[in-house]
Amino acid sequence: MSEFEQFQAEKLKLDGYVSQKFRIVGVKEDLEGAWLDLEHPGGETAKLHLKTANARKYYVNVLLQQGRSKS
Amino acid sequence: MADLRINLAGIASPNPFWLASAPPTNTGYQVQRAFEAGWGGAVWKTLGDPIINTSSRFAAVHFNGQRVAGFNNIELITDRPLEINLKEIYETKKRFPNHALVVSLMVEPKREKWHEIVKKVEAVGVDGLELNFGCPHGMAERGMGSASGQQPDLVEAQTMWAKEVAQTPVIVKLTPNITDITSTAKAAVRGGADAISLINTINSLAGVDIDTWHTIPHVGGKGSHGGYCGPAVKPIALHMVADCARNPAVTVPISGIGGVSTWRDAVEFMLMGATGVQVCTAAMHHGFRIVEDMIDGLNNYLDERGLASVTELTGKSVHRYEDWGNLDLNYAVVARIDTDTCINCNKCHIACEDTSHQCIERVTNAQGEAILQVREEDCVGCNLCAIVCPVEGAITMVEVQGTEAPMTWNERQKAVAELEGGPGPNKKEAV
Repeated sequence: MSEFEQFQAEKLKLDGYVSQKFRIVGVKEDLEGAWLDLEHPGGETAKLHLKTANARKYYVNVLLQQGRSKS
Repeated sequence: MADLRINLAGIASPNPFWLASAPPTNTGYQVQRAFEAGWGGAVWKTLGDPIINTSSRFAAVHFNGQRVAGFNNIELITDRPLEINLKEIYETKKRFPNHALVVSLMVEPKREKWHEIVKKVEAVGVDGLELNFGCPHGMAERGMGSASGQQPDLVEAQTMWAKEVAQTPVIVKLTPNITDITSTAKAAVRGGADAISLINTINSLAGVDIDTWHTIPHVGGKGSHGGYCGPAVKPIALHMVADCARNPAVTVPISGIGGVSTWRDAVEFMLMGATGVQVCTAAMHHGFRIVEDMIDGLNNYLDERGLASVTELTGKSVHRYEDWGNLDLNYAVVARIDTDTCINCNKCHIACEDTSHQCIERVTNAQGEAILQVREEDCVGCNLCAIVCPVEGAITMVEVQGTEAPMTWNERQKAVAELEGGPGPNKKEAV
């Protein structure tokens, strides 16, 4: 799978959660990439592991949008 | 015709092109010939206790057919008595009152030594002084030049000592042989410098003769490190000038030095904050008359852009030079290959395949011809293909309109840090 396809797959997963109203509530970044904690207003939680550089960039775009929509 | 006059910290010059303190400014004969040729100013070769030079002093690095891409020297400061230099400086200034005549100085880091030489040199009527804290060889081993210039406290103290008695503007010339040039630039400002000039030469060994195993150059079979300059050092010099220009604590004008060979180079240095430039290697390679092209080219450039004065260039690009952490991570470009212009040499494919991101493919078009094509979704916009392409315009880097708002690394790290620990001190590394 190309780097772009890997990114697309990771982005698709994150966009899927976001479309279901999940919010990013925690993140841990380490040698393996970014580990996101997502939470639904209904209390459901999920974890997402993002490995590609573009996905690790993209989730912060989402995070910033999330912050903007909150305020 | 634009106004090419500059004023560097009170030193007026008919144009921004000065000869740097170096072999071309060793004598009155040379400096007067330079002024006749059109140079706006000259920094007289460094005065101090006269030294003795070696025979065999210069070396050049030729690269792929370009002569003198880099230049290396192990020559020291003046080897002529002070009295003779002063007499010629006096005569030169008398003959060329409207040209900038600055004198480079280097003495031991002692207050009385600086007082003595500043008074003696100013007595013959000079427009300014340049303190040589940059010469990397010979003098440094004696505690002068870059040995002083690498220590901010010594730069500050010696600048202060010169300023205690100086009546003319004092320019402090900085060594690039240091991690952060702004540390010594700020020290010069603290010492009272009226301007800074940079860069002096870079520690270097031009080469080793693989037949004789001698260093290049060698003096009777032995070599020593020298100072590197010429076109090859321009990017290093430009960065250091820009770093000083954008530092709010470096509040004095800048004289840009380092590989300036054409009017274009001069424009770049001025855009990055220099008031004027100093030239050495290009004059040593091509002679004093290269200044004619420099003046013509600069004039035409200013006229074409509708600029009335060369001073309008100074610093105009400084705000575009940033810390890496403030660059937009969401900005994107991709390579596009113009198949009509492309000669199918395959260099871009090889470069991308071997050393970048494997996104240039050889495909067959509708006519059954082999063409090179960029898989844009995998292109990271590194520019390598456009750099190695031998055909001007065959590969262009095209901006991709993104959907995301600009986001820098520092903004990213702040957002992540706030998520990790809530609002508060930024726990993530910023740049």
